[in-house]
Amino acid sequence: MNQDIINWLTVHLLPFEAEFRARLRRVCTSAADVDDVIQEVYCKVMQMNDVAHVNDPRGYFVQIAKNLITDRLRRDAVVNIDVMANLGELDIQDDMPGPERIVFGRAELRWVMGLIGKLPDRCREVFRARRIYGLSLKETADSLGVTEKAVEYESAKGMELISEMMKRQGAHDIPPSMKVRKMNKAGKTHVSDR
Amino acid sequence: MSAIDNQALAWLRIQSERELDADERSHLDAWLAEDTRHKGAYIRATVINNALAQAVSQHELYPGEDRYALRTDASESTGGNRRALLKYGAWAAGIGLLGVGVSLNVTERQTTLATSRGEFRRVALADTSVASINSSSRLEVRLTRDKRQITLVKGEAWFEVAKDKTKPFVVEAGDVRVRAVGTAFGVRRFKDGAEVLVTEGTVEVWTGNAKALLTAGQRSFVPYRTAQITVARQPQEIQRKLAWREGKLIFTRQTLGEAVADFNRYSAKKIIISDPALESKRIFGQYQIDAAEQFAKDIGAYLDVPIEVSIESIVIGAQDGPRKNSI
Repeated sequence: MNQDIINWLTVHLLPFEAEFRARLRRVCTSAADVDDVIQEVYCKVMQMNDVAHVNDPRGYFVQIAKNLITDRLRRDAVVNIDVMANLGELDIQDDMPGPERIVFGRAELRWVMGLIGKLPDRCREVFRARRIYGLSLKETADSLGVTEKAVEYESAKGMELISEMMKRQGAHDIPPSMKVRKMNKAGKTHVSDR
Repeated sequence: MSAIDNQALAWLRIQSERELDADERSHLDAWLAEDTRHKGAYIRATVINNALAQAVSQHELYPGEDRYALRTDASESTGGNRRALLKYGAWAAGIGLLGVGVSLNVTERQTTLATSRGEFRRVALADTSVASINSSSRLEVRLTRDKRQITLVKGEAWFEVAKDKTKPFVVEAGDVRVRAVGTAFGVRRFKDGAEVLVTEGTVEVWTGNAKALLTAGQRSFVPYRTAQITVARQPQEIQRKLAWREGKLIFTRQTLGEAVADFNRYSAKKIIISDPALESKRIFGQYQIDAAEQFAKDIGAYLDVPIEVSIESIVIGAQDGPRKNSI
C-alpha cells in the first residue's frame, strides 16, 4: 500500500471520521450503512495514485460519500426524496487550514494519546508494554503476570476499542481552548491548554 | 461494533507482530478481494495503526523507573509538554524563507546553510523543498535549471522535497548519493558512510557501483564504496532517529553509551560515563534534546550511581579524584 496515502488519510480522514459519521447518520438509514460508506471512502482514496492535488480533503471525502450514496439510490431504483434532500447536510464549512504537510500534528497526537488513555486498565497496560516499551509477547505476559493468550486478547480488544472510539470522537472535538492553535506567519505558536 | 472493521483490525494486529505465512497471505488476499468494504476496512485499520505508531513514537517515556513498572495514569503525556510546545514555537520561529536563486536570471547559485552545536534550522529552499537541519551540520545548496544538488558537508538533515520531475533532487554525503523526486528523507553523514532514512515516497541511493531503492519506512547505513547496500524496514526506528526535528531524543532500549553519545551531539557540556560497565545498560525514555542534566540525574536515580556536574562535564558513575559540585 502507498504509504503517502496512508499518511495523508491518517492526517486528514481519521481525525475527521467521527464528525463525518455524525453527518452520515442523518442521511443513511442504519449504522451499517455508515460503516459501508466510510469503508468505501477509504477504499476510493486508496485507489488514487496521488493525493497532492486535493486542496480540501474534507470536502473531497464528502463528495466521494455523496457520489456513493447517489449511486446506491440509483441502483436501488428508489428515489428517496428525504435522502436526496439530506445530502446537502453532508456539506461542511471547512475551517481547516489548507493543504498541510504530511506530518501528524500535535492536536492529533494528543487526540490519539487521549484515546489510548481511555482504554480499560488492563488493555492500556498491554498496549503500553507492547507498543511503547516494545516488549515481546512473552515479556509482556511475564511482566503483567498473565498468559500470552490473555495478552493477545487484550491487544485485540484494545485495537477494537480504539477503532470504535475513533468513530465517535474526532481530533477536533476537543474544546477550542484545549487546541493548540496554528502557527501564524511570524512563526509564533500559542498554547492555551492551561 | 462493525464485524468487518474488527476482522480487518485482527489482520493488522497479526501483521504488526510478524510476517504472514503463505496460507494466511492467501486468506487475507481472498478476504480483501471478496468485498470493497473489506478492503476499505483494512485500509482504515492500517491508518489507525499508523496513527498509533506515530503517536506512540513521540510519547513521553521515563527511564527513571523500571520498565516493567508500567505507568497507568492516563494524563502523563501532558507533564512537561508546555516546555516542549514552547520549544516547538522557538523552532517554528526559526523557519526562514531563504531566497536561494530568487532572481530568474541566476542559473546557478550556491548557498551554504550551517548550524552550530545545539542549533536547529528549518529552511525553505527556493524550489519550496524544506530542509530541517540538525545540530553541527553544514549543507551546500545548488539549484540549477536541471537539477537540485545538495552537499551534506557534515552532520544531518531531513528533506521534504517539492515534486519536480524535471529536476532531480540529489543529496551528496561523502561518496554516497541519494536521489529523490518528491519525497521526504533524512541523511546523516558519518566518518565511514552515510545513513539514509526515508519517511515518504522513494529514493535512490548509490555509492560507486552499488545501488538501492529505498521506500518509506526503510533505512540503510551505506558505508562509502560498499559493494552492496543493505536495506532494513524500520519505520518506528526512523521516527525515533528523526525525533530531533521535534527537539527530542527518544530511547527505546538503546544502550546508555548510545544515549550519551546522542546527548553529546547537541550539548557543549559533555556527559562522561566513568564506569564502562554502565555503558551497556539499556534504557527507555524521551527527553528534550537540551535536557542532558535531567537525563543524567534520572539515570543516576535509575541505576543508583552517583552523578557529578561541573562546568564542563557531567560524569555518570563513581569517579576517582576530588569531588566537586556533588549533587
